[in-house]
Amino acid sequence: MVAQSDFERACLPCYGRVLHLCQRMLGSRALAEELAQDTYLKAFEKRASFRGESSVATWVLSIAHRLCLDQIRKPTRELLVQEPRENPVACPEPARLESQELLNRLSPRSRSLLILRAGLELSYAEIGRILEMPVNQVGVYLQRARKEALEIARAEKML
Amino acid sequence: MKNCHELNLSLYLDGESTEAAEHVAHCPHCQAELEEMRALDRLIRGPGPPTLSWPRPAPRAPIKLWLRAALVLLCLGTLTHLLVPPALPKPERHQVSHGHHSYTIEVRGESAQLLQMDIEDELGTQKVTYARKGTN
Repeated sequence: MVAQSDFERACLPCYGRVLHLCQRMLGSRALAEELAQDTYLKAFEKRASFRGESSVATWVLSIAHRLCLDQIRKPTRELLVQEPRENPVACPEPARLESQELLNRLSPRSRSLLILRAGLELSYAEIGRILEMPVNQVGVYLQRARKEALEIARAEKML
Repeated sequence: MKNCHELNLSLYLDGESTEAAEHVAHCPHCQAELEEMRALDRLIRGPGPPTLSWPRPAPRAPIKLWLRAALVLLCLGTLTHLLVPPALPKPERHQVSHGHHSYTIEVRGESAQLLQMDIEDELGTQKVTYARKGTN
């Protein structure tokens, strides 16, 4: 069993990436913060099952990603609505809004791939672990995701 | 050599394969597509990398010097009050006369008045006289 202090030392530095992943997957800062907290709760509960086959960050990100997919599958669609700008810190810049709009229109798989690769700059191996797919498939699906995103971006004159 | 549609430009863009390198060097279409992919990545990456950290409570503002001095003085005052016993008022001697009897009583502070009230209760106000005899 991993001690709480060791767990915190290993997991907390990747909180920014977890939050980033959740926010980009869901398009809502408030929901992302909630899910990031759930991620850490779940990671703490399951810390005994961490075998060290991947980095702690990858392991935590995979938990966050699974929670994001669960959230996306929920019937409510409110998560794609931009939150009110009550907090100036959370207020996204125009470029981020545009890219979020683009991500929201992608399939969950393409969205995940592009966020993990372009947003978080993870390696194919890390992406493979998070999405539970072989590394060679990551390249194939990433190519499809980029084509899908490029079509939307061209149509909307985002690039 | 593979044609444009057979190549996976993502692998080349991400440095996972150099298979497309030769083709891209001579294909303006693929060069343009690569450039678009780079722009797409930049758009998704956003204005800055995620540099957020675990939310911590905001650091407390440093205590100002004058406030520190005031706190030190307050602590010293409290300590002094607790450790040093308060100075007792100087005793007063009163001569109490009742009939043929005369007593000298020594009282301090408010207790003089209280004692007078006690004596008056016992003996009756009319018959008691008081005379201050001076202090120590």
